[in-house]
Amino acid sequence: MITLSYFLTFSSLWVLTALFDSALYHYSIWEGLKYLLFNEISMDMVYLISGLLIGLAFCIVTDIRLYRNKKKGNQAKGNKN
Amino acid sequence: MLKENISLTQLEALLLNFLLGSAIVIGIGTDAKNDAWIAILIATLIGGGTILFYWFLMNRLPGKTLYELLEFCFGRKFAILLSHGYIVYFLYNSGRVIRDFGELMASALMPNTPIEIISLTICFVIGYILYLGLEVLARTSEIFTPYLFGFIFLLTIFLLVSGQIEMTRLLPVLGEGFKPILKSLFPGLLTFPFGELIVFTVIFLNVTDTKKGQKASLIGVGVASFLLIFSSILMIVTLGVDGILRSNFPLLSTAREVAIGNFIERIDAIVVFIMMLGILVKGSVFLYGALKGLEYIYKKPFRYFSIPFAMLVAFYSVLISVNFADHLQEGLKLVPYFLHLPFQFGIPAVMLVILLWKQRKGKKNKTGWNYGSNQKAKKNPGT
Amino acid sequence: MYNRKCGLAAAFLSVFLLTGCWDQRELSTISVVTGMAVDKGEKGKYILTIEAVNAQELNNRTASGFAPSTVYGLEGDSLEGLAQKMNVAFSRNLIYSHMKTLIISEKVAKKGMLDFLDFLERDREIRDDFNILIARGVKASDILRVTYQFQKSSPLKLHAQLDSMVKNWGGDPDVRLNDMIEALTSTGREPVMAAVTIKGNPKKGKSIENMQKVTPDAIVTLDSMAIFKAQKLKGFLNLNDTRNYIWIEDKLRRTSLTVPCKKNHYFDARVYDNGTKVEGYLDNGKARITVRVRTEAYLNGTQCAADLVKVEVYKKYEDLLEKTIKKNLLNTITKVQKQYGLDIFGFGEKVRQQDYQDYKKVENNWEYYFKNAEINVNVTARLRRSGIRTKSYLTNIKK
Repeated sequence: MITLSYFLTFSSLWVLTALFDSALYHYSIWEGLKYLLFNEISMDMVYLISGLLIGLAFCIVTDIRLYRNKKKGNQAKGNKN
Repeated sequence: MLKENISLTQLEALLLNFLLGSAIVIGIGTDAKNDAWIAILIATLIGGGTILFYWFLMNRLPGKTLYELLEFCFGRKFAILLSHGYIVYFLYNSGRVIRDFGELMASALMPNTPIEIISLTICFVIGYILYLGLEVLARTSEIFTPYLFGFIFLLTIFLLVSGQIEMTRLLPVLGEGFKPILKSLFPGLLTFPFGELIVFTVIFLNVTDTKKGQKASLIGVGVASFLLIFSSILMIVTLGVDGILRSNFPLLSTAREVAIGNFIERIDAIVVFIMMLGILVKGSVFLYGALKGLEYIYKKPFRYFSIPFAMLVAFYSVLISVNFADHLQEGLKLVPYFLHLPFQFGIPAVMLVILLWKQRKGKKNKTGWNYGSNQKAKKNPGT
Repeated sequence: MYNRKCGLAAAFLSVFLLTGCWDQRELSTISVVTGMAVDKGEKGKYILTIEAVNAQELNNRTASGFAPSTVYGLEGDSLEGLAQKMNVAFSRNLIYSHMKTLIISEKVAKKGMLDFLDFLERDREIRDDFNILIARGVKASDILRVTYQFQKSSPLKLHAQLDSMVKNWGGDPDVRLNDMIEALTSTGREPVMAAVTIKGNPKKGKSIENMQKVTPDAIVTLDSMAIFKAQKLKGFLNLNDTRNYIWIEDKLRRTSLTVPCKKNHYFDARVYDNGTKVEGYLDNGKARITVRVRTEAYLNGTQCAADLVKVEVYKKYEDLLEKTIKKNLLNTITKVQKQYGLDIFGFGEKVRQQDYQDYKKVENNWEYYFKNAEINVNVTARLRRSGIRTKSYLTNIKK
């Protein structure tokens, strides 16, 4: 669930930023989406992407843990969360 | 999951730092030139009204967050959609705030350090703070607020002593009449920083004493506005209008003017502290607002979301704009109209109408909608 | 187990975050630049000359008699480019944040090529606390090269010198970058700058021997004040006029005024406190400016036989003082009005502040109004005391 929300929010923000950029620079939204992620020349994007990946890893780990807890909880019929 | 409580002083500290936040970094009301302080003064009244409006809204259904209010008004499906909008809006704002800080660091203090690293580090801190919860954030801002006052006081003293202040720069008062003031009020000052208080609708229910909460938040807004007016006057009398209009970070330029006897000079660090505190709190509060929304949609404790979404904010804080001009123009031309106005005033106003209508209907029909008991029964809102 | 893993991961991550910032510089790898000089270039637009000091030589304990600083110049089209390129000659990273003086050659100023100020204002490292000076009649780079016994490096010397000058007599308008740019952008004010020159032989002044002489071969002196029209140098005002200028600007701290009390006899008033207010408004298409001066002084030396225990004598001297101040200030203002027609006093700014609606109409034409402005000078001067003597010995001198 958290991973899903992560991707969903990521893409929403992507669209929003691309919309604003396309309004300012007068190009179409598709170009905006493309430029935003693939035409960025900054070399230090590596740091950000690694940050994103860390976030993603967090999401996945939490999701797996929640899933396991849920399973365990169901088995023991206790309450979780 | 326990309900988190914050005290009234903590709420005030949060409000204060939130309002100072990026407003003090880039300076507000500059359209009004040397009457900026008058514009802020008027905006303060509007700001007070805004926060009372939000309180009024939240008091319709006590103990619920903005998102649950949305559900009450529009039904869960539509509420999820709107909540998603709010989440994106809050995250976007959080990113903007952090970008402000990154720009400040990158252009004025550490030009060789990549802005990505600055964003990333501050987002890690924010993520960690929120992982620990709202209480930690509230306490952090409570602890640092006295330093904020101390540093502003010091800055004032230093400026006075170093003889850079010329009160005549405030003249002529209202030379162009009220027109420029109105221009700077709408939508500039109305939406930024005062309208952004919408995010506090997520926090109000955590205040221990809801009755006194209104008064406390008014005090918070008042003190923050006083500091904003004060800093605005300080900037005008030291830099002059032209100087302010030409500087990216007026308060920083102001601090750079300080030079006392070849001994006390280069006190930029003081100003950077003030700004950093404001940015930290503002970024965190926005992120918290978004996290609560996620909690509402996905029904998972918000802590789980904190680190990943902090990273997301870091990522978009850099991607938001290509350069500084882009950043400013977006902030002046697009964001107020397309994001601030609908999310700060549009949706809440619609919500208020629906709420009042529904409640009146509920009262007339005397059906099962008893909000008071409903709230008591449901002690842990959120999850 | 999970917590330990988390801790390890956090520790691992912090390794990347704790490396420190990209901007750190070790002390042993930097050189401090104290002064910049801008000359007109032949191939490029400018010649930028900088002086980087050798800190060891500036300290008397560690000094070993080598040159206190290194001066090197480069030619190019912009200051920023040149400033970063300086490592063609210098071995260390140059730090510009402690710059004390910026010297601009007369030629550059006359051509109006001051557009490099933008770089100085924009750059984060350069602060707004250095003196801006015009090198009158000499090359700006030569001024950097002249050595001096106490501060050793010329920019440091000038910085201290001008500071002392302002404290004791006035004569330096004390212009900083911010003032300069404010004057350039304001419609009601024209910029000024202090001007310095070299007395003696600039060639000989370059050596360490210059520091070893009681009368140095060359010495940098404060010469006059340069006045500008926008970015162009238009002329110079002498030191007395400069003092009157800062008197009107209300920047005067202390000065000594010599006032005639009889023919060819003078008394000296040491002015120790001064406040000036300028009021201005437009009236029937004519600017009316009133300069109100309130001055406190004490008498410190008289050549006339005066009995300084009597109220009347004080009164008489005060009147004389007032008259002289008024005459001086009016002289300077009319001189500037007639000779240059440039509002260096910022009267337009005052009118703008006090009579905004009228000023707005004449804003673009203010120069004309300044030229024909009616100037009023009101002086109130008080002589408070007379040193540690009452009567002058001149009153009972034996004939």
